[in-house]
Amino acid sequence: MALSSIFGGASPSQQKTVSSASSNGITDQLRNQITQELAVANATELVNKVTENCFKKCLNSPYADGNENCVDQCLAKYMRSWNVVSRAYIARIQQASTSGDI
Amino acid sequence: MKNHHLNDILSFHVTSQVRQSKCLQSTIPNSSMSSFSPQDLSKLDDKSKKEIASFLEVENSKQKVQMSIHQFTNTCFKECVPTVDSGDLNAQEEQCLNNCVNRFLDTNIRIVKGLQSLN
Repeated sequence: MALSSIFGGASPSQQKTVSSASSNGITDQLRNQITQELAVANATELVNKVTENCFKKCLNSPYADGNENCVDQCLAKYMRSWNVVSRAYIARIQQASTSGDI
Repeated sequence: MKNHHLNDILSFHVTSQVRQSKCLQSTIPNSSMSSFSPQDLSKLDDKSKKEIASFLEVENSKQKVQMSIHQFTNTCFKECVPTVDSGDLNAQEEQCLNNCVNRFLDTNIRIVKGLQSLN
């Protein structure tokens, strides 16, 4: 009942077609939600890693002043590094798969 | 023998997998965004269940690759980018990042082989 109530309910005669339509709705919803949560998880991971790295490279004890210019450049560098690493890793995976190692 | 390399490369970082599978598990029952209940999920027909299962499998391996890239970038950035004086990578830093990823994977594969040979 919960299923059909999402889609406004259905009389018993309509049950069959509606249940498959509802099913599609639920799978789409699930997909979207999973995709969205993965994106959030990836963004969070990225923010944490960049913050950790750039904090270390741009600020020094006793942390009296910020160094915004360095942090901005560090972020740009980190993103470029991410792309370089990503390309190298994907190339390696592809190489392994074409040579039959995978 | 060779077949294991895929797993080496794809299932790379144990902690990232754990983190990720936690993330996927939490997706269904706990999410605040969720507008369907676990009971709704049990009502899915077999076709939809299969569809979801294969979707999860694909997303799972994509996510493993993503988490590995996060990990490599974190590790290699620390080693290859000593100072920040511009927003661009110089040629040396870029080469170092490339080498770092490849040597890390070489090391991983060698470790796995070494452990396998113990059996």
